[in-house]
Amino acid sequence: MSISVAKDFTPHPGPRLKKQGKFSGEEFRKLLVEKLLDADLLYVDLDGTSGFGSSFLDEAFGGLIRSEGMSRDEVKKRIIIKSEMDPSYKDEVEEAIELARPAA
Amino acid sequence: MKKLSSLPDQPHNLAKPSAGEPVLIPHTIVVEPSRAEVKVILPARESGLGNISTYASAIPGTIVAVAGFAIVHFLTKRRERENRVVKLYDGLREQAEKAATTAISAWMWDAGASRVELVHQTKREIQALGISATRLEKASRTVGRRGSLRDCWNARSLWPLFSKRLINVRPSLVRLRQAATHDPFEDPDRAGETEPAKNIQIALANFTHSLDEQFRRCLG
Repeated sequence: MSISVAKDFTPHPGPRLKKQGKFSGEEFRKLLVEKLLDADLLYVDLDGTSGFGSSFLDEAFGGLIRSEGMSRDEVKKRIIIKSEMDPSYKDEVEEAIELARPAA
Repeated sequence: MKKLSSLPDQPHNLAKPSAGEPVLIPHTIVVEPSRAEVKVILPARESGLGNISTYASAIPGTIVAVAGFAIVHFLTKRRERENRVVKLYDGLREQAEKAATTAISAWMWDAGASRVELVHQTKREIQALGISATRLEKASRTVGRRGSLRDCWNARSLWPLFSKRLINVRPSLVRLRQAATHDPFEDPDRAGETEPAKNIQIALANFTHSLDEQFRRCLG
């Protein structure tokens, strides 16, 4: 299964949290969790948006470990990032996943 | 010429030519005044493009001309590719400075519609920077020099000798984006701040340093 941020969520990603504005990383994370219930493997396409902030990426992907109770290995195994236009997003997502710690 | 007509067309002592050998044609020449006969056997002369001796003398010159043309063509193409890399490199420096300036403005601006627009513009400009950096990395693949023995020593491997030096500024681009858009950059309730400007400038300096360094290594 695949999901495109630009086509299935918004072409203009917003801030970290829902309370900070529309199309937040938090909202996108909820969408990811929903999709992961139906699929073992999820391809996430980051191309085609007007640009991401670091906080959106950290909340959406690092948040899976911090807030959704997923393990790092599970996130790495089940989520495949595609970002051909700007591969630095992929690097940043991988870093966010690597640095995220589960909430105590 | 009476004797001429009495001579056999194919003397018995001439072996029949095998495939690939030139055909030998006997000729009879009558020499005056003694009327002695001299027999001269000449190989049959082939004509046309199939005969390599027709143009054999021109072959070395042609090879030199074709090789010269190929070398000039190769060097011209290489020069074009290098110019493209230089152009992308110059553009990337300008884009990075512009994105950093926009980010600093967005941080300093007080809450309001103008700041929202500056926040969006910062994200757009950093993404454009990332796209240009990807183009530069791809373009550098076509001109990058191969690694040196020193690179092999540093990497403890022979791999650098077989791989090209690319211009990859992704790590420093990630740092620049993080410095520019970290929390609470997009928080609508925050006040204008000047503190992040310092970190953005440091990240920009690291980005341009990394870019310059890799450009120098790539093009030698």
